[in-house]
Amino acid sequence: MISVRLVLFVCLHFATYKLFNCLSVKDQMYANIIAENPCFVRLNGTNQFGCTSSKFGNVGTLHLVTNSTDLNWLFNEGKADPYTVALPPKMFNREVLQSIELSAKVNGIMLLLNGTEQEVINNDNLQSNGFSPEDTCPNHYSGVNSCPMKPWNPYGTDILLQSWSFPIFVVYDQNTIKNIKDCFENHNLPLNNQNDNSLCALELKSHMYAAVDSKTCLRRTMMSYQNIRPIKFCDPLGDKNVYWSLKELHPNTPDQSIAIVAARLDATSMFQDFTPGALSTATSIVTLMATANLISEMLSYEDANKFSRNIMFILFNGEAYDYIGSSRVVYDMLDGNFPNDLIKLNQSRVGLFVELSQIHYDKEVVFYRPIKNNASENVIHFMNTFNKSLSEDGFSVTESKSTSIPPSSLHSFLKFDPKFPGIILAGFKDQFKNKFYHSILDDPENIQYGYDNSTISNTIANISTSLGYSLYKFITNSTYTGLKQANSSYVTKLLDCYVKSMNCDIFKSLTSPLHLPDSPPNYYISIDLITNTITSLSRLLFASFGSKIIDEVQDEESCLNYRTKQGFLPIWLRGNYDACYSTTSNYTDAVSPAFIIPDYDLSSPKYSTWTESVWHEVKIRMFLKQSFKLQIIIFVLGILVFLFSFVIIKKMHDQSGIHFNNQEVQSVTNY
Amino acid sequence: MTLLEFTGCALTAFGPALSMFIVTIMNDPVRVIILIASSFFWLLSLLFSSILWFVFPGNQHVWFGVLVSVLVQELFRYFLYLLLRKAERGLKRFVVHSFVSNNKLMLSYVSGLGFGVMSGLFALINILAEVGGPGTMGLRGGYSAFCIVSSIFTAFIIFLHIFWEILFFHGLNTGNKNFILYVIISHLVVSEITLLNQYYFNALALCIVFIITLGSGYYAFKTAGGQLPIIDRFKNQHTTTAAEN
Repeated sequence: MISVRLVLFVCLHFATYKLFNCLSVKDQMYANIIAENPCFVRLNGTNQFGCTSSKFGNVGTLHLVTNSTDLNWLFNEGKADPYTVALPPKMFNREVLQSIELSAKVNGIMLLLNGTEQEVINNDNLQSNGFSPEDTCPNHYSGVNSCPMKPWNPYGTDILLQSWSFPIFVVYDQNTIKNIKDCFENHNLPLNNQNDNSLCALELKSHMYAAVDSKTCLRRTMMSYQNIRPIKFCDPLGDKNVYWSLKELHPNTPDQSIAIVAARLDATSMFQDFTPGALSTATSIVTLMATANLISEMLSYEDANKFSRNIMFILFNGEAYDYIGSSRVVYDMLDGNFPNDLIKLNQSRVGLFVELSQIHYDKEVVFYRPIKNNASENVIHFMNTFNKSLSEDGFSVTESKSTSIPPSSLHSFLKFDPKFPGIILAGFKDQFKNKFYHSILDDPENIQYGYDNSTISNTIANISTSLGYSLYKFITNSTYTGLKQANSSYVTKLLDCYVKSMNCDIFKSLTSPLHLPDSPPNYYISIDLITNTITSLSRLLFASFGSKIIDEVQDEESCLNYRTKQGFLPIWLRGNYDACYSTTSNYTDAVSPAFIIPDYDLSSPKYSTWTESVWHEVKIRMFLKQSFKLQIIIFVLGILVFLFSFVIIKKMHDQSGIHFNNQEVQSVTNY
Repeated sequence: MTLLEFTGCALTAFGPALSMFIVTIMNDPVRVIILIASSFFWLLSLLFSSILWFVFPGNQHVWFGVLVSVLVQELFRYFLYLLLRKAERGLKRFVVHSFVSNNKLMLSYVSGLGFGVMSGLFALINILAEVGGPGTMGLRGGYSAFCIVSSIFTAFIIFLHIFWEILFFHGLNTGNKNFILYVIISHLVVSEITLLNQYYFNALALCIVFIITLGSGYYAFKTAGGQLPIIDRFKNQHTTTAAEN
């Protein structure tokens, strides 16, 4: 009876008289939290990076941390461990994460972006502290030169290149953040008697299949193919490079007759599906696209055909992961396989290689080149023309004195030819201006796109114009006298597509009535089996530049089967075009040679060996964890009820003669 | 729900039933068969009431669904009685030494336990099924003692079903309609009272059900011809000690 009275007391104590909402028991226990952005595991030939939860999820008591005092309390006094820690971005750095890892009291982390982006940046003073999970020297071990004294990415915290023993999620949905905060405040405060109440807890589930390194997980995958149900542990990173040339490429082009304009098509971040990469990559892509469009208008196909020189625009993919795309292009060139086995373009044909890197809204362009003296004539001409043209627009154009060149696709070419006529046009001098390099905050606001688009658009339009003029000179060997310029409103439209939403005017004009995702492009290269949407859309955009319509073809199917001249490909453009075009644009594979070469030793640093783990389910649940005290009470109550009832019943059964006096032999029916 | 909580809740709800099974039923195969048969009848009643619920859905009027379900359960209790009556002679011939037919009350007790255990399982299973997860009630409705309160309810319901079965069969045997009426009404009251839980009147509901259980238990005990010699003995002891002093 004591126990019953206790329970009566307990339920009176907890009874709150509000109306019942019709939820199942499970739904009353658990609140699912939108969690689409886990940190996941990536591997290279020798190591494992990123985060994973245990197979059934990590459960921890929720703890909101806003400053180091909160964290110290957790380490020294927190008794309800393990904890799940919710952090603001300013606490999301290497020191904090490492102290959390060492404390062994935390088994999950949530990064909360509370408020609008501008609020987050201002509150946490990120504009001056920076927020970049990358290494201070991105692609540290795959370049041709070592990290300079002043590292390229001074704000880099290197947390992207660590293996964490707990899952990490980013949460930016404001309602969710409010729910999490409410749950913490209602159930976990005050902190000093945490063991007496039910506590708000979280279960983070993001179990990664792969472990150790690429070699191990690929071997495990191969071995599992012998099983009845094969399991995949990891996939190589890979996608497609996209290129377009002013006119078709020929098998026998003269040496040094091709100018390549390159940019990278990918960025990265710590979290799945959350790689805005605006300044890391998008501005360069837009500059490249605007230039390609300009040059196709300046030089019609017929005009260009009068000259022997050609220009090729390439977007390399997977450059954030040890230059996957460019190293594959170099490998294919050496193999006589670029862009296909008929044309066999190789490095000696390239007379000029211009790479665009992190074009900034500031009117500043910095040249980097591997060889300062004895540079090839093409490079010097290009630099002079470009410099002259851009200086007229009020830009500061300088050449970096740094002996090393920043992380760029050029490294892949220099590895095989130190005299490669390459040059980098960057928006930063000696150190990145980008405070959020490869982070989730590298979004439109980081390039001042959104409220006043004129700055970034004008800067990009000016650079494109000068670049176009310089390339014109490369081909024709004469100065451009026409009036064509890169249009800043066109650049704005391009930026719309590449940083804001893929469902934008330019892409729609190429694809409608196809439905495009209404989200900014995700610049993470992802696995080789999937071609990213932005890769396909960039190819379509290239195809719209200076392409000739094929009049005799009326439908999409016969367009695909149409035989064009060598060097061209037929492509059906939808939307405003709605016809069959012959284009010089195409894809090439951007899968690291490491996965192509038979029996390649994956621990060798020569080629990129990045793979991404496979995972099954990602989910966060919020719930209350029963207090230990009540658990014990319930357990003891159960045992006592069972024992007492057993003893009483046994006694009654044995003494049934005493308790029951009508033991006559009677049947149910016999009355 | 953690393993500790699960064990506590499960033992609270089914501990008494389990001890009854071990002490009184386990040794006799025929009793086990009757237990299972009566559980089956309860399931049939559930099936029937859910068909009714399906045909006439009344999402807004749960009390009506409960009413129908209780009546259906009592109807199947009657069917079970008829079946056992039919089987009685056969059972007798089959097992000469069985305890079943020795005592007509034993039959109603065993089938009552079957009824109770099965309804208890149904009442608690979706709560106990959450043993796999780490959480407990309270985040989005409910309160942290929800599981243990439900378990105590379930224990009461199992007891009640035994008592009701004894009273019901006795009523049918003796043709006394009052017994049957009492069973139906108290079953209705208990079931409708559980609806109070949704307004968080758990304590009140629990108290009422507890009182009804005690009352029904006493009623059934008396009906079965039970007496409590302990009380007499206490009285005797008191008088003897008083005399000694």
